Amino acid sequence: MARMIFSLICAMAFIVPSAHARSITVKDKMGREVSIEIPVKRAVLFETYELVPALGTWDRIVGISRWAYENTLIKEAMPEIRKRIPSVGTGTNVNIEALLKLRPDLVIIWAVRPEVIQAMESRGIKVVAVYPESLGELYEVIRLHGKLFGKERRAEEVIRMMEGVLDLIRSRVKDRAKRKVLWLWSKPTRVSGGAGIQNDLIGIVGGTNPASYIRSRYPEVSLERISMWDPDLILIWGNARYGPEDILRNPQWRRIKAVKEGKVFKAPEWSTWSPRLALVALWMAMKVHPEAFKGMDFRRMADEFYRSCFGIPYKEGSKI
Amino acid sequence: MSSTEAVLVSHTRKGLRYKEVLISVSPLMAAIFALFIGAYDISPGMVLKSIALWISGLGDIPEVSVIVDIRIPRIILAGLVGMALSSSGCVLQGIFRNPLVDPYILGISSGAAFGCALSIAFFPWIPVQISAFLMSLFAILLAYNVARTRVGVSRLSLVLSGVAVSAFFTAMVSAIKFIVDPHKLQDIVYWLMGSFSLANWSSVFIAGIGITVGTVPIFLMRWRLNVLSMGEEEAKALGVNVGLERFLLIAAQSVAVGTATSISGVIGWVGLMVPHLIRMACGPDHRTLLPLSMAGGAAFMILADTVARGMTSFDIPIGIITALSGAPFFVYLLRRSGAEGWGR
Repeated sequence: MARMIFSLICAMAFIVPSAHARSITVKDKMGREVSIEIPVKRAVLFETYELVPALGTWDRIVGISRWAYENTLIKEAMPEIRKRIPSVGTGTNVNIEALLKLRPDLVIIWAVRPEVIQAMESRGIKVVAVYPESLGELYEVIRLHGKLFGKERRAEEVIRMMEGVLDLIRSRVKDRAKRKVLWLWSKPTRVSGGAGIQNDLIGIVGGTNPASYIRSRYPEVSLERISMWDPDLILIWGNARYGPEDILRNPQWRRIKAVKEGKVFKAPEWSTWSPRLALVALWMAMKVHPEAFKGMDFRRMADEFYRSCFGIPYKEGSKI
Repeated sequence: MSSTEAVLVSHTRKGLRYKEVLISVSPLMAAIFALFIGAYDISPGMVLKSIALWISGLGDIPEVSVIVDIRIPRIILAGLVGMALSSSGCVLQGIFRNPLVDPYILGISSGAAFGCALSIAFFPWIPVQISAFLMSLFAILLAYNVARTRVGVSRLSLVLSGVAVSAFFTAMVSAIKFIVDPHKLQDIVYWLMGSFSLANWSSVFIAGIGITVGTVPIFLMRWRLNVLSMGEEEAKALGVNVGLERFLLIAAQSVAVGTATSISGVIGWVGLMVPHLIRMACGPDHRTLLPLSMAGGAAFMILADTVARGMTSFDIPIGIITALSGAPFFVYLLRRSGAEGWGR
């Protein structure tokens, strides 16, 4: 307890001297209004860590989610991450004491467990909750990071880079007939419904999502319903424990058009809460409308994007 | 003495009553009803035509694939799992003479959950079902051995060790859930919510073998359950090797429930409730109670799964349906008839 009070005083002591700095009020995903002194100098990120290499804010990050240590992009952009930036748990399991010790002036976390956020706030920590559910919301999250870290121009640049890739996709697929694209999550009967970024992406790459009338992010549906939708193309989430061969071999799926034509693919294991969303979209578009992207080299495009957005070369090409 | 007498006297059969006939054919009726319901719109005439086409092998239209590869195996699997859970509940309630006992009391579900979590988190080359099945049997074996003393295995210590083993494995599952990344965490959570959404012929085949191996011995020993459920002293007085017979019954139901759980996850309420319902309707004689529980469990599970897959655009986790539909009905019957079915 004494230690917590001490840490609290430290946290206060840190905030008070910077009172002359500009202060902004942010309305976050949970509808909370948080006023924050900017630019933020000691942030702890539980979710949006892929934005750190994109915005170039490594020097402002004092703590990070345990999951960041496993993230391929983070490992390449900051190989010594484990030594440089301590972890204070994950978005659902936060070690509050370790967090207090880092004296953060801002914590960014996903809007999933309000009681965790409340626990941090009751100890005087400023918390902003994010949970982008559409492309527009993702851009807002990127802009918010730009504002908080005083990197507004870079944030706009990152968004322009993403829009550049997406515009290229839009222009190539706009005259093509739409194809029915079904996205499968961790289980073949868990699909992408009408909410969430995945649904937006299917639209952008020239597809229609047959499950979009279900207003939910990851509804579980019956195999019969999938048969009824009869998608032209099936895309599997990159982190799923099954692959295209499991779907193609299963006789229950044999009547579905995508299976008959062998159009079942597994996506790269990339987050869509990141600028990498643009590359996921490109990958999807090249699967949905391969004839529109003849001669385009995904690897080269990805490498260009990685270098300009994250400042590192793209190395995962062999897997795609 | 009087209760012993009552059970022995009731052995004189009075012929099948209408309730028993109704319950016996209920799985078939439920299955036929379920055959006509589903997300894929198929008219009743088309259902019959598809089945005819399938049996005759004359044609392969999309409807045949939906009915034969998706709907029928799912109905059969639900029936098998319902039968396994409710026969196991019936056996354990009889052995332990305790109405609160369900198939998971000895740690089988938490063992299976641990097996699933182990496979997903650390041993991806071991299929989840196999790992879950082995760990569920390991859990129950552990519970049994913890309860064993020099004088044998007493009922109370078995229930207590089952609770302890459950708690232990549940904690281990939580520990794994804490360690793994969110994607694997999601897999574990989804698996633990029971569901028949991936049912196919090979899962029917595997479940069929495991559940048959488990339920046939129970079925053949149902006479002995009457004696075992009278209590240890009375059973011994009648010359029954209580320890051995109890072990055999528990081992058999473990194979059935272990198989069911490893294929469809943990589905609550069925194993607890169905034997009670049957007991209230047809009396406590295990010679009829057990087979009727099997039939009732199968029918109930088929209907619950039909609701799960046919009511909304979603495929609702079956455990939600079993609890939502079962609990109020159960309370109603309980209030109407009290615990008279227990013959006390």
